[in-house]
Amino acid sequence: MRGRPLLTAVAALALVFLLGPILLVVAIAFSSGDTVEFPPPGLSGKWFTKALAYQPFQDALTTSALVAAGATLLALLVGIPAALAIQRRRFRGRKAAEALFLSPAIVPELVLGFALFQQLMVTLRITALGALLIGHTVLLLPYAVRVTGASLAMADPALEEAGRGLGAGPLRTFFHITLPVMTPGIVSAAVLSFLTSFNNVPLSLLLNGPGVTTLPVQMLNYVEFSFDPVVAAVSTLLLAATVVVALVTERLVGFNKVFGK
Amino acid sequence: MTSTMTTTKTTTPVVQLQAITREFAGSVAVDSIDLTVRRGEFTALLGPSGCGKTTTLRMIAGFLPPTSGTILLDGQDATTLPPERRNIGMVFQSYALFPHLTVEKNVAFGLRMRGVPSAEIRTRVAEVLDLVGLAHLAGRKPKELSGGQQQRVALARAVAIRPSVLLLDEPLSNLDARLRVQMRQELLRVQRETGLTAILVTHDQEEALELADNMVILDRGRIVQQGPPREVFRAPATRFVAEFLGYENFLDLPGRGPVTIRPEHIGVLGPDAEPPAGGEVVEATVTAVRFRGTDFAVTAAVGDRTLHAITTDETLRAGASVRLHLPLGQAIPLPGDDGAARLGKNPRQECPA
Repeated sequence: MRGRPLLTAVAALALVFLLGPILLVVAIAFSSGDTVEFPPPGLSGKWFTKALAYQPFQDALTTSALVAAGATLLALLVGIPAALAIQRRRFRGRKAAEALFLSPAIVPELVLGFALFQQLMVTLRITALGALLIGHTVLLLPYAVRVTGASLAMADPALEEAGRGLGAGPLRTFFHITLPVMTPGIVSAAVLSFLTSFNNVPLSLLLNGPGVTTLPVQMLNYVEFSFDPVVAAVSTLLLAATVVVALVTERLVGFNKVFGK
Repeated sequence: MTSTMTTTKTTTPVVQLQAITREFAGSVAVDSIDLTVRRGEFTALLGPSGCGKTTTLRMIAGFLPPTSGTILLDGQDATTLPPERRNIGMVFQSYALFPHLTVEKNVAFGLRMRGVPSAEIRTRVAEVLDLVGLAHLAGRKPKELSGGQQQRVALARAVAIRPSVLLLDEPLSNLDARLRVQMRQELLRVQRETGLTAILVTHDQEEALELADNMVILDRGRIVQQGPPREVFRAPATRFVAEFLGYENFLDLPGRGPVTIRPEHIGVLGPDAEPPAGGEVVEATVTAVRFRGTDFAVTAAVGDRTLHAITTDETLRAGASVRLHLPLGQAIPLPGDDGAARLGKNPRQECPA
């Protein structure tokens, strides 16, 4: 970027706008003061202690982790065969099927959430946890289909034929060739799905019930009534966890693959 | 390796296609082909792209069912047999090496699938890697290899299972020109040393001429001519075959029908030169001269007709008036042409798939 001062300046500004607020939250989390203020009057870890001991956050974390893990698993179980069919088979309505699986990413989440709330919880009387699981699975399907599909689309279709020609039947070809070739895509899809579910607010806001709330929604609730650095501490913990997940993924499959490059 | 793979001389052809036809959504890609491939023979299917040769190969491999007709492998009806039960060794145009496996494991794959004991797998993989000169790269992943090395791994993987027939789908087309020429001899050496029967699909007539024992020329899903390369080259049956093999001069001689003359047989006469006895001399205008290293390729107009000749005369320029000597005695008749059917048609154009 040398010799391009304008570009450098814009890039620096973008970075400040992206990272600035996040760094501010981290700084406030370590505050020794009793309200959200900057700069903090002193440093302490007391808000972390308080956040970790706060029962509603503990319950919400359990719910969030459960929903994220469950929905990721379900989305992959549906999404991997769907991606295989879309990428490797020719059938009528292939494009329509692909569009259908990607549509949850286009429909406004509040609309999707409201529809699911009405159908699942009001009409079918499914529990909040069940509704969350189903809702998040639908939300994650586009990622599961898209990212695993991208890893398949990049792979040579002749690979499976090579396997068959060398004496492996369809099933052994799938387990020895197709699945290993898809693995980086599956890992990426799983990480992306888990994070998407874990961070989701609009769906979770509508699909909750007594004692069953996800962590981001519980944090919102908390901020409505109290204005202390506890939420900043929780945010910092989430941020740290996300960074760890990102680093591990980078080591495993390369982070650019997570975004279906 | 050769000792265990010496060909048993039997009279049963390795591959027999009987009236094989393949249609795609109404259009005919392969039109009632009959083909016999004998043991140890190197067959080349040659033709312009999209005209049935790859489709034919894929039907032999079992990746594509024929619409009608019968495929016999080692004398047994294999028409509906899935690929994993045909004992074929296929080398793909894209190589299709398994990206998650090392060279060694790629080559071992077919043997593992056959339940060969692991000790035997090790020795056989080592033998085959030796054969293609890649023993030192056994632990590498495919993406760490050059194109030529990947090509050798693909060949080794197909040869390792000791297939009844080695199927080669444009195996050299992804290599650069120099390597492609080197690899031809490599391919031939491996085929001769293993005694394997091979079927090569190519659009490169040089490749087919150099490698094949039997050259089969396909056009629009039909076999238009087959035979040993020298015979086919010396006596192309039709203008299509002749053009595909590089002939450029086509004449319709009164009483003799369509013929072709090789450019190097046409003499470019200097102003005072005496024409050789026999043949015919025509006045022509040079339209282009291309330097080819050792000589020049001359394009000349004779009336509304274009002729191609070869000369070593460095002074010749476009626009010059010359006399061309046509040795009609050396003209090659094209008996398969009724004279009109394909004249003026470019044989290299794509046929509908």
